[in-house]
Amino acid sequence: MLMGTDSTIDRQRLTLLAFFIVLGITVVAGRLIYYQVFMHEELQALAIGERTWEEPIRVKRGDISDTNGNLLALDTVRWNISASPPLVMGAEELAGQLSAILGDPEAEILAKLERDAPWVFLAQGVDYETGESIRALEAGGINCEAIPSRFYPESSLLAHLVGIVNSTSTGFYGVEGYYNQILHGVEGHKIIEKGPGDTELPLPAIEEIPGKDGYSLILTVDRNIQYIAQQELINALEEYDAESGTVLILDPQTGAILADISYPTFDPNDFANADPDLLADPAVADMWEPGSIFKIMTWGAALDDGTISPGTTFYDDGQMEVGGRVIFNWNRQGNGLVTMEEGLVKSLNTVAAFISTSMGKESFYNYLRRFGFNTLTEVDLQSEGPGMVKLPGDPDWFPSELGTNSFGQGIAVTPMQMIVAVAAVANQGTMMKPYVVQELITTDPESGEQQVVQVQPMVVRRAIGPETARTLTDMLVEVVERGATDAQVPGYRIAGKTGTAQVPTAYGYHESDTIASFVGFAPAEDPQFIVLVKLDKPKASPWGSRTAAPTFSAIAERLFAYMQIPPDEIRLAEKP
Amino acid sequence: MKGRLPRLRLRARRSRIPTIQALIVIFVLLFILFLWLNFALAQRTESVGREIQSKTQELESLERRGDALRKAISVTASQEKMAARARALGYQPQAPFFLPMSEPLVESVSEAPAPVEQSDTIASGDNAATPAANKLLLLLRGPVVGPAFETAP
Repeated sequence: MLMGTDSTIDRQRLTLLAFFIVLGITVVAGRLIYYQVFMHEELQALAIGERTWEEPIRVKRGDISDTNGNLLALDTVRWNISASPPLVMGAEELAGQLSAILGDPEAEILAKLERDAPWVFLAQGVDYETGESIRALEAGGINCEAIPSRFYPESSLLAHLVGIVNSTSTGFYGVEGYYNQILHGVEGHKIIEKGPGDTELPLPAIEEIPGKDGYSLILTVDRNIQYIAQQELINALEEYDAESGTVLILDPQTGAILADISYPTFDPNDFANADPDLLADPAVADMWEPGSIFKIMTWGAALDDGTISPGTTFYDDGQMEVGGRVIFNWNRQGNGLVTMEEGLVKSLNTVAAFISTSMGKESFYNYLRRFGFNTLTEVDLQSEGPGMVKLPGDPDWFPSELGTNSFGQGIAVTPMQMIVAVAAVANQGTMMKPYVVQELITTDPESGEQQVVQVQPMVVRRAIGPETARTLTDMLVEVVERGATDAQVPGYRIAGKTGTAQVPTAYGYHESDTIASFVGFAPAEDPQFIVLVKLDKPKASPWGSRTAAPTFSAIAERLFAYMQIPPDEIRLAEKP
Repeated sequence: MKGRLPRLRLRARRSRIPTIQALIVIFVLLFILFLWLNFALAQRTESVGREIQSKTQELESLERRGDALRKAISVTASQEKMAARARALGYQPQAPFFLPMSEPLVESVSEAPAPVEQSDTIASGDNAATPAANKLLLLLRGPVVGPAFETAP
């Protein structure tokens, strides 16, 4: 009986114990299921967030080189040096070492290292050697952060053309601005595990998306030609006491830009201290009233639509009224009966006005559009302006504009528009799209193979017929041989035209300031280069024929030598 | 009857104990082996990870050094520096000379005249009375007395 009672009690106790054990296990299992199943994602994200870190994978911005492979822009490293004072040991000794490397006073560094702050800057943007020296100290609490920095070895030589890159690796102006996305590449990222003290654990990344380096660009620009243009432009600015100037050189047969220089300029390695107005490339961003070099367009248009021929005559009495406005020649004198060729050689405004009015406004402005005025040339340089040509029908267009526009007054063009339009004449009437990048190079991250994308010259349209272009070229040769003789280079036939434009102000044109220009190409029968020289407000002489023309001559002479173009006598005799 | 039954059960339990003990031992051994393997793998992963980190840092350092060297080379080879150095060394820009030749440019190597040395004599035009004088053209650059980027006086 007693045994039976004990057994019953034991069984009850065991049952109770089993119940509590099962209950406990159920509760624990329930919590586990709750955390593992229902709260899984939230808790996992929390846990990952606690111990992981997303780090960007920096990619290299592409290099920029000239046509001969000389580096014009490249990425290099600068260092930001900072300290975490609470983690610094032996501050006095460390301050001495840092002082010797950074060149800052020891007391100043020591004060920073002992400051009651979690983090202090010691130096910003120090060069490679300095940064590496500080890293080599392996001092606790000293942080060295490598930051990419753009460097331009040619400094101001190609500043306007190449452009700049800011501290966030974003390009502005010129090639850097136009090709920013291509040069920049695509940044990658990786998720890594970090231990205490934010040190990366030696484990594979949880997730890694590799970046892609930017394309490197090979330009059409030749550093040597750019240097020649720079030297001659500086000489011209000094000799003629001009405020500023631009020289543009193109290959008229392809539209490739060989040189593009403007002064004053800036150092792209220190653009933060440059005048912001200087950063944009004046060759594509600045507009000016071209003056007489625009007569090339007027003559070309009229020859092409058959309004005139070189022998067409006009009686020039020194003035002509168009739309109620009297137009005078540059010297206010008449020349009697003149041919169209003489009109171009003597740069007569009356003849230009006669031509445009004879053509009629529809035909004249249609040809200006065909020569690419009032639209972008779409050159691959950032901050290009479209120029300004008022058209019939516009509220601010007056009938007199037909006369003044014919000799380049009352319109505004960019140097790039002007040279591209004249290059069409040099290229048998075919207008080419100007371009500055000839190759884009990238490396396949997987195979390591180099991939090259070639940029081909692009035809925009036919501005005038080839026969017209040849006739006009002959007339432009006459201009240089009989008019703008300072543009000549002995032994070579050069086609070109001078321009002397008045400077518009809010109250009409300035009394004495002018913009002198010359555009010319050579050799005339097989043009290898076209040069536009523009000098702003020259004081020594206001005339393009006395300032811009000799500057062209100096550049052309050196280009003949550099490009190994033999004189006409030898070159033409060579041909059967 | 009642006294015998527990003895029989005890005997049956005793017969199972070695099997259970063996299983537990095997399980524990396997568990230890698993832990050891896990530890060994973790250690290896850590070691390889450290090596990768070190190599990555070394690679980054080398890349930085490469960039710094490229920068130094590009600065040294920049147009302005080269021109200044050339001028300091007394180099003068030199225009090319285009000499007329008496015969067409040779078509075959066997007929070609001996290569003309780039010398001061030819560059100054004193050698105009060579058999190859007159009509045809031989394009020669002047003597290398100036940097290539300044080819005209």
